[in-house]
Amino acid sequence: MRAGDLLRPLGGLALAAAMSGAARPLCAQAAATFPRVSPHAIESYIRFLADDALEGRGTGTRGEWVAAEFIAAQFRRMGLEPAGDSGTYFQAVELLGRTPSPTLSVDGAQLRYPQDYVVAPVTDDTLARVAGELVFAGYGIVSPAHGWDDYKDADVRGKIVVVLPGDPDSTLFDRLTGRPWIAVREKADVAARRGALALLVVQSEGRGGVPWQAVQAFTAERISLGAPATAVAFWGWLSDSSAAAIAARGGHDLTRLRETAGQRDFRPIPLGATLDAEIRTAVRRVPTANVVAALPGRGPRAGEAIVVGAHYDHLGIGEPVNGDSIYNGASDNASGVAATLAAADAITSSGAHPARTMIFAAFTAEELGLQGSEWLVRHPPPGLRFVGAFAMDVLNLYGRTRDLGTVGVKQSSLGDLARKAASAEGMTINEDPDDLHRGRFFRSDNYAFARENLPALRIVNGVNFVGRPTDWGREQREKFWNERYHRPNDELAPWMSMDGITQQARVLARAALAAANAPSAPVWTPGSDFRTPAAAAR
Amino acid sequence: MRGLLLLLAAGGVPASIAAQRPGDGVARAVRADVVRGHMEFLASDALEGRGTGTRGGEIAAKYVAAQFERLGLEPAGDSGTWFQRVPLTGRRFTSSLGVAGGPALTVGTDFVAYLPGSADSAQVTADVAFVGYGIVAPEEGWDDYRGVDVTGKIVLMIVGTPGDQDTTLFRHPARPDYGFRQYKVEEAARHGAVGAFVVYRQPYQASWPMIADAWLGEQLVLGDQGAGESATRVAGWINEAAARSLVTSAGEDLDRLAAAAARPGAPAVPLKLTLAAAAQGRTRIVPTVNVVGRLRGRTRAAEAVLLGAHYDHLGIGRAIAGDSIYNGALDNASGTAGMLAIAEAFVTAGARPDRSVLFVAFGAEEAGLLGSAAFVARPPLPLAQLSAMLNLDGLNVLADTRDISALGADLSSLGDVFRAAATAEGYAITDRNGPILQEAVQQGFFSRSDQASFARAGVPVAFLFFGDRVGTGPVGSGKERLDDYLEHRYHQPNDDLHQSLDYEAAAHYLRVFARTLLATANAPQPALWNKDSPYQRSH
Repeated sequence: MRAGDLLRPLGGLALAAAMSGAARPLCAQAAATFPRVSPHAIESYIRFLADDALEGRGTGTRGEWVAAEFIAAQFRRMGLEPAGDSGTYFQAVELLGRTPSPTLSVDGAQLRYPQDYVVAPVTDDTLARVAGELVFAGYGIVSPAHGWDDYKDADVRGKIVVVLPGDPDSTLFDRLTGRPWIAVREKADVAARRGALALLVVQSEGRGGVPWQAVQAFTAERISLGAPATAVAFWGWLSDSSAAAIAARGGHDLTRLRETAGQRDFRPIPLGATLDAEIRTAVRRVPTANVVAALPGRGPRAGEAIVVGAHYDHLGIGEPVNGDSIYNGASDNASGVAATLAAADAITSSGAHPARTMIFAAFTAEELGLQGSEWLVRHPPPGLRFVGAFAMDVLNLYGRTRDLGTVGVKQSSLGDLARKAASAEGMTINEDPDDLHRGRFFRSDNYAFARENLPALRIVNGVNFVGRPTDWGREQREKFWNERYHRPNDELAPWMSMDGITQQARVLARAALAAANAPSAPVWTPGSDFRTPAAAAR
Repeated sequence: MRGLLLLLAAGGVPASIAAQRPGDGVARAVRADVVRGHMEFLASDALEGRGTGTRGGEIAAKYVAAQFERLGLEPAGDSGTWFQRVPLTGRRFTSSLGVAGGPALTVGTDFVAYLPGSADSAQVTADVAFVGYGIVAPEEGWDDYRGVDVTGKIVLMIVGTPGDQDTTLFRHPARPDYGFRQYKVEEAARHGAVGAFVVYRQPYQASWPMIADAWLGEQLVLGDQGAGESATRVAGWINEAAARSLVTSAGEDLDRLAAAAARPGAPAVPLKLTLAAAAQGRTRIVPTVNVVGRLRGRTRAAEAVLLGAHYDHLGIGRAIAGDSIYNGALDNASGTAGMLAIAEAFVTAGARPDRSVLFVAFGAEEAGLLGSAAFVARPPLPLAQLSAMLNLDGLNVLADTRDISALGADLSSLGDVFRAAATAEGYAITDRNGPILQEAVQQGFFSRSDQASFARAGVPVAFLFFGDRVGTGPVGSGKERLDDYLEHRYHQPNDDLHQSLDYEAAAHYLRVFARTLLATANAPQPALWNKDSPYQRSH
């Protein structure tokens, strides 16, 4: 599970190609035992992936490579087809490490770096020169679902857009499971589609912006994918005071601009100044791969694909804590991979031939910002079109629950499938407000799919534990976040139980197979920002 | 008949029709994809050749343990874990050799030397006797030491057996290792020689650079045993050219001596030659393990049948064609994958035989069968309770054959069980005097993998070997495939996943062993050595 939250736009999707044959959900004999999920198997996967020998599975490291080979071997063993590059299970993910050395000036006056601004280069070039008029575009939000459009009919082509962080009002948008306007990546997507050259966010602490301290992290190397077809050359942040000074140049007052921006009838305001940017970027390749396997669908819907995936990377070797420098990532996310493998095993061993193709995937570079899942979304296997995704990240190693935790259950029809699947296992569905308020819808691979308008559901932990007091589940969760999350002691411990994750894997197998066999592809719930197709949404 | 069996093996036939014979269930459950998945993991570059005591070796062991755990086997290693410690000591030698008072030979090019005993260093200067092949084989009426006292001398002998020159000799030797350095040096020690050097020459299965690389690197010995004491204080190999010039300087001719060595009754030849040999050793502890999982027996759980395969290989070594990773795909990712595939077949078929089945991945085989030696030295169950050991080393992933063989099976009641299993899978039994089994004798394959440790310890064994007729090819086509592997890929970095691999053939072979394993585990009696077998139960 990733810590940060700043993401980038995607390319288009491949077209579907129907495949012949007849779907067979399950034969009668298999249906009686479906889903067959072994707690031994789940524990063995976690034990191996979280072993010190795998050195924390850092992206681009040899430990991550061993993990990828392990997952591929299990896919092969199950009889799943390779769906990566050239007949293998491995989909090379082109990650670039970029370290910027920028020079920005406004009307010839050079800004101070990094006191006045920081930038995140998006282009693959080692030298980018960008010049254009500055235009203030309010919050930079375009949401047809909520009748909001900061751009209106303004032409920002060839210009550099300045926006405010966050959104104007907590009641306007669905901050918990809607499109996350707090993410600079989303604002940059909108600006790019409008033809803007670059995007600058006015850093405004306490007003929906991240602390300037956190923004300063962007002076160091950032590892992300190569630039998609439609993208700004860079995005960045202006400090509050430098933004005020730039506004004043053209006779504008930043405080006044802020007030105007909160209005539904806001129109972009030219700032009467020109920005020149010269960004030199040190670029290096970081070799890594997703692991991708297919259970081919049968019949006319075989070109549609349901993804079942979890990230397999973690933080590698890092700062020692209590003498331990290996960040094993047993919960985060050996557990999610284990459930994915267990669900794949249950579905393949049942002999099911689903109508839609099922893609089982282990994503790389999630901890670096959902990079592996974004790459898969950009590059579906040939002949396939993704129509929905289940993502597992940090699962239940504490025992049986009465409820299945989800994030995004009300946002799409996948939620209903999960509810039915949970019910078949004697469980209810729960969406804990705490998970939503912590932004968990946006902090794992499900969001990489949602961002491209593909219905995606994240499975997390229930809170209602069998044989435990009411608050016990939440206590365990808090203990994890406070004591083990992203620390070397996120390890498999003898006191842990595979009962809970076994339940989760069973529900996952049922829900994913149901999605693959449903008459229609998953859809977003009306009113969601994610509902409309990508082109019309922005 | 064969067609029907293949159909059954491929699945898709209702259980009521298929489950006609015991063994059909487990045989049908052996899947080529399972073999392939495990093999692709173990032979991937990420495992760095699975060298003993290396990171890649450790990951391979943990992978096998993870698979055992996934299948729900019971841990049967040390104190409730999957792992049985193999206490290894690594020794590296520096050495010198030359005519006493004369110029020194070049280590690596001309010779390699080591300390057969546990001493840290040794230096000997002594007269040399040429003792032919250095073999004492009463059953062949052969004694290369007859009429000569080599006490306090350095003996010189040639690698291999007289069978290399005269195929009527040593056709069915009591000891399959007469041709090898270790036997020859032990024999020299029994005769009191202070030094023992084996002259390298063809035919021999290893090239000189392979031997030199191995001895210039670290030697592993089982720590529990220790090297022990040895009358022979310095031993080693001398390359043919260097040996020739030494022998010439003594006024003899190496080729004439070698030719004479294959003649029955040829005497040892004292040489007018004094050699000075010295070696020093440095020692360290090398951690490695066997991985042991048990499928508990239904009625006689305390007894067991063992299916083994070594998981180690050579690690990272000298680059050949730009590749330094010795992946060991056939040797022995294939066997380990096969062992795991049979374990999975037993579990998915729900087979619960009377006796327990021990599934074992051995470490340190390439260093001299050390993992299996450690296992029999400190077995997790009394060896008297171990009915049989079946071994997979170099599974046939090359091409399916019409016939099949198992080395050592004919020394015990396992022979009949194996034959029945082979027949049930539509295989003929390979002709004992056909080319591939003659090659097996010549190359000493039986003594070159872990089954040898068990046979010596008195446990009946069978080592799944190759057949001699590939597809519709003639007799000898199997040997051709094997020879191609042995000549071009064996113990080289290109024994990897890029060679042509036939996983269906491997699965078909494994079905024979799955049946053999099940039948042995369910047999009323433990496997029994034949009366005329050189191996017998001693426990």
